[in-house]
Amino acid sequence: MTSRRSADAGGARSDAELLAEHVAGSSRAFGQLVHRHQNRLWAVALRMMRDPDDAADVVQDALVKAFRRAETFRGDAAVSTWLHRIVVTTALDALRASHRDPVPDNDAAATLAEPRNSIADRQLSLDVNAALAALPSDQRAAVVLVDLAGFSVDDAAWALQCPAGTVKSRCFRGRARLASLLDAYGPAQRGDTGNHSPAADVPTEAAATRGAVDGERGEDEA
Amino acid sequence: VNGPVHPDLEALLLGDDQAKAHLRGCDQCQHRLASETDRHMRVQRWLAEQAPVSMPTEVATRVHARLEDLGNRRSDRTAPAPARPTPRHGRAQRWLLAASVAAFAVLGTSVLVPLLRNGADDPLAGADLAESSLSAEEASAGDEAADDAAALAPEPSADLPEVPAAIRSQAEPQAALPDSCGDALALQLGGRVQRASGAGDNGVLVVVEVAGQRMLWWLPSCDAAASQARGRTALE
Repeated sequence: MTSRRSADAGGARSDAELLAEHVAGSSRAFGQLVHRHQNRLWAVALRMMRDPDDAADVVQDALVKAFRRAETFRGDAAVSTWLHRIVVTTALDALRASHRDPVPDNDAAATLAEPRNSIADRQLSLDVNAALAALPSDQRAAVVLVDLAGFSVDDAAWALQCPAGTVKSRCFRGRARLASLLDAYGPAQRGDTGNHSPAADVPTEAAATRGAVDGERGEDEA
Repeated sequence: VNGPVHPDLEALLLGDDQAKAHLRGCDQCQHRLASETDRHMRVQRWLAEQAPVSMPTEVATRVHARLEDLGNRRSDRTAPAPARPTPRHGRAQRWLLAASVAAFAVLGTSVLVPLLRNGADDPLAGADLAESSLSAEEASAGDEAADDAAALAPEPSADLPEVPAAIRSQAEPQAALPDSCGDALALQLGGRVQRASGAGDNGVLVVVEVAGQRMLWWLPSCDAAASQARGRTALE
């Protein structure tokens, strides 16, 4: 599988090479590395924090940490996984500090009930950020990494610093909670007909990340 | 009431060994697992179909500016410190300079002052301060030859003091100064002997460089230099 990174900014250098250049003193390598992964890091931070301002703070703090601690990266995971791990850890710390975890069910349900375009076709759209906000932060982190960012259970376990079984359990409980929210609106409201969704034809967040992670892992193994 | 204990859904979905063993013979749990699996797959599909989110431009600009600032600070810290200027004069150089000044003061009073006092017509008057191997005949013969050579000699260079014609005539141009004599002169003068312009019957004409200043000396006491210049046999 061709790695996505080769087509991104930073030329043909791998993530690991860019990080090594940064540790060696390059002033531009880390910026290229961030440019390559910033959208996926942003998506994870936004799903975790829900508020864009908080997500921006989390991403910036996480990348500053990564910048300063780059020499501590031992290469036992992909660089992108390492960056996601720092973002998730920073987000969880921010959530604990702000005592905003979890969002009360009533608030989440009210947010979920907001129609996107109620007059035009009365089709309700479920805000994924609002749905995820209904989950406890540990379940949210697991669901975001596995189901949204496309990480394998093992990579998510490394990023969350917990056993793989714990990640599976958190994903199970998180999905069960989300499923109950989805059921509350029925197939018509959420546009779920049980058939193949046209949205699956467009590049999705999880598919894009899964491709990048798989490609990098493949090169690392090589 | 005393029927089989069905494992919970989480154990079924996560493939617990006991749950799997129970599942093989329990139609009710198989149906429950299929239903729950369908719900989970629906959630996963819904999450995966979310459109990719791009970092807003203002956030990206802010993040990259912060990282660039960090990079610049790191570069400033790791850049080598500007080299300190090398002291122009070390302790040894200062001692050498002081010794040179003292030596020049002594020699100036003993050699140059008599020379200047007696004038250019009698440049060898200062020789009485040192040993001299000249006889009266040799001196007069040298004077005559010097007069002839002076007429043909080129003008002295601007950066050297004018040497009396009588001395110039006796000096063998560019004669090498013997090492022993050069060392002795260097020690005596406290400076660096640049070269011996010539060594004649009455001594040796030496150009001395001290602290960038060139000075011309006529030293009649260096017999070895004179002998070397005359016949190149004294030290061989």
